[in-house]
Amino acid sequence: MKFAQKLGCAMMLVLAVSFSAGGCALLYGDFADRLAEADAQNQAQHSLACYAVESEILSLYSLGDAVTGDALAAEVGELTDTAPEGSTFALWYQDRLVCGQLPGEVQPMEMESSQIRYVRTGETVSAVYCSDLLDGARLFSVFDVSSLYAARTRSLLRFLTMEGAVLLCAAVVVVLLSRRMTRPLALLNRASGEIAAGAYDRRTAVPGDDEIAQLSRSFDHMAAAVEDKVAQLELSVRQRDDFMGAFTHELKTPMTSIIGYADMLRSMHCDPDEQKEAAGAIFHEAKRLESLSRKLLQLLRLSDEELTLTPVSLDGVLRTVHRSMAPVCRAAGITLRMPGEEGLTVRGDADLLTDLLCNLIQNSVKASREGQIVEVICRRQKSGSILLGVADAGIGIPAEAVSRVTEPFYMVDKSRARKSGGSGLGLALCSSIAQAHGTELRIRSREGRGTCITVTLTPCPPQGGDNP
Amino acid sequence: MNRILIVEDETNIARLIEMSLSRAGYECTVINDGMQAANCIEQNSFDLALLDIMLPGLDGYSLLEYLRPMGTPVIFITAKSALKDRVQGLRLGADDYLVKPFEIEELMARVETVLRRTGKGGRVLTAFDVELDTVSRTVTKEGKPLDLTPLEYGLLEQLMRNRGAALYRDVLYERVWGGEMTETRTLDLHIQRLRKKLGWQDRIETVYKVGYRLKKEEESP
Repeated sequence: MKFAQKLGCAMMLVLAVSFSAGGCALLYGDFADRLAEADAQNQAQHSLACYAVESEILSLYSLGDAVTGDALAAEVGELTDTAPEGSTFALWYQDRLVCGQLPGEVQPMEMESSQIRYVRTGETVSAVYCSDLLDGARLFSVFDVSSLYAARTRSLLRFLTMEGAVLLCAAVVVVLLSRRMTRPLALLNRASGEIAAGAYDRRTAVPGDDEIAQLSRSFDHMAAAVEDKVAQLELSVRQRDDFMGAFTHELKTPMTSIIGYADMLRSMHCDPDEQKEAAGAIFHEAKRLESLSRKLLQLLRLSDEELTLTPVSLDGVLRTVHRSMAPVCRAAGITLRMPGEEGLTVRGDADLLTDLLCNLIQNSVKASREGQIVEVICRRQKSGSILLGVADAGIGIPAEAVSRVTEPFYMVDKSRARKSGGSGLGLALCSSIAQAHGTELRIRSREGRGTCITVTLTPCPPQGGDNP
Repeated sequence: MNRILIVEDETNIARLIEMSLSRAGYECTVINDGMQAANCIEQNSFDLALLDIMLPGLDGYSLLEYLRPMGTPVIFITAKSALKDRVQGLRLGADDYLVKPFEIEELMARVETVLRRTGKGGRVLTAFDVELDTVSRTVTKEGKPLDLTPLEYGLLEQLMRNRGAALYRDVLYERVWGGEMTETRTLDLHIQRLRKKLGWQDRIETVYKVGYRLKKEEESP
């Protein structure tokens, strides 16, 4: 059963019960009043009759005549004549019926004196009054009160008809009202169904400030939260799919070369040039795989583990970076310019900061021509924070690609990246390292003019007090 | 001789495919970039195109649209192995789909199948006066059929496919017999019989410490 129906039925029940009870109380009160009024009249009539019969008996005694049935019957006959229509009398004298008769099954000796009894015979309702008189005489007065009862029945019928009509009208009103009141519920219901089916942008927005409107507001909050969560989930799924797609591509491409060249070498006797070419391809592709797996592992570790940042002397980091990158730069004919030692200390992880600088330098070397300069930046800013990064005057990054270069496997120029052994993970790794230090990569680049990538690190008071 | 276009931005893979297909007697054109490939397609005609999907410039799907009107069959070569990618490629009208990493043997088989299906040859291998039909698996010499056992046929097919290259014994055995070679006699005996049946005593060359090699047309006396 629907809530609107339940509400309607409850309202109708209350209405019908209260209306009926009220109506009946009114009707029966009115009826009781009329009955009491008739009773008073009848009582008076009965008393009058009793008085007449007693005075007849007394007068017979005083005259010395014998009290006979006939004399009494004549008196009663006289009474019947003078009494209002519908009244009859019955008289017993010393347990013998003198005249008249009682309606229905009323036993004359069962009734007590001054008792009133209402008797229904067929359509007629009679009020029977009984009084014991002198000398064993017993007088019954019977009055017809059918009209009172008939009037009650008529009133009742009228009332029922009216009640029926009223309830019918009320039912219509109640149905409309309850529907109107439960419409927001239906709306909520429909909306929740639609949301469950995937329409996460659905809202209810029931106006007003009753409970249902409050529920609607809470519901809309919930729906908004669900929408956000679902969007997040979808985004993360898509990112993971993209990542997996790019990853498998990066994995399968070198494997195809390795398998193909290795198969060629093992199945036929190639000439020395071909052999050299095949071995070279296998070597380079395997190196690419190795670099990919190393960076990927580092990336995974960064996303899994919480880092403990410790005070790191940047001088040490810069020395390590110079040691490992100077030969690379020399081989490419590029000058690596290092900053002077300033005794700066930051909160961080020495190995990761070294990796960050090495990756940035590698990128810069790839982007630069022979004879150009790659500069490592490390200085204290006016705000006190420390700027660390690498700048070059190389090919730069196209403006539309700047926001994407930190995505894993994103390469601005795929074929160029391949030739220099890039995996597309370098800047993604740098970005993760920056995030692990609570900061982010700042990339400034002009195509054809050069690139400058920096991070801003939190300084740390130097240990040992060897610096002011 | 079938002309095959190879569009692949990975130079190592492109070179590998080129080397293998050239050895099998196809004429190859290698292009590393989508835009250049589109130009090349407009100016030349090819019997088959091998396309990578992720290419700089224009991607493989777009190149397919250049190739369709010319009726050039296309095999996609890609690392995308998801079902929807394969379905999309085939629905767009590619003739086959090869997922990286693939083996050269598989590539050759698919190239041949597609060429055969599109009626551009790939059915018959020829060396000197011998013709080998790869569909009916029969061999004829000067037009007359030769009776070869399946193993002999397999050996001949391997030699003809890799003409001019000295094939290692163990790889020949692995490809024809299947499984690892335990002794070399079986293979040597079969080669002897094959030489006799074909009358190729000096055309199937024994390469010391390596295996066997089928000479090319020009180096034969």
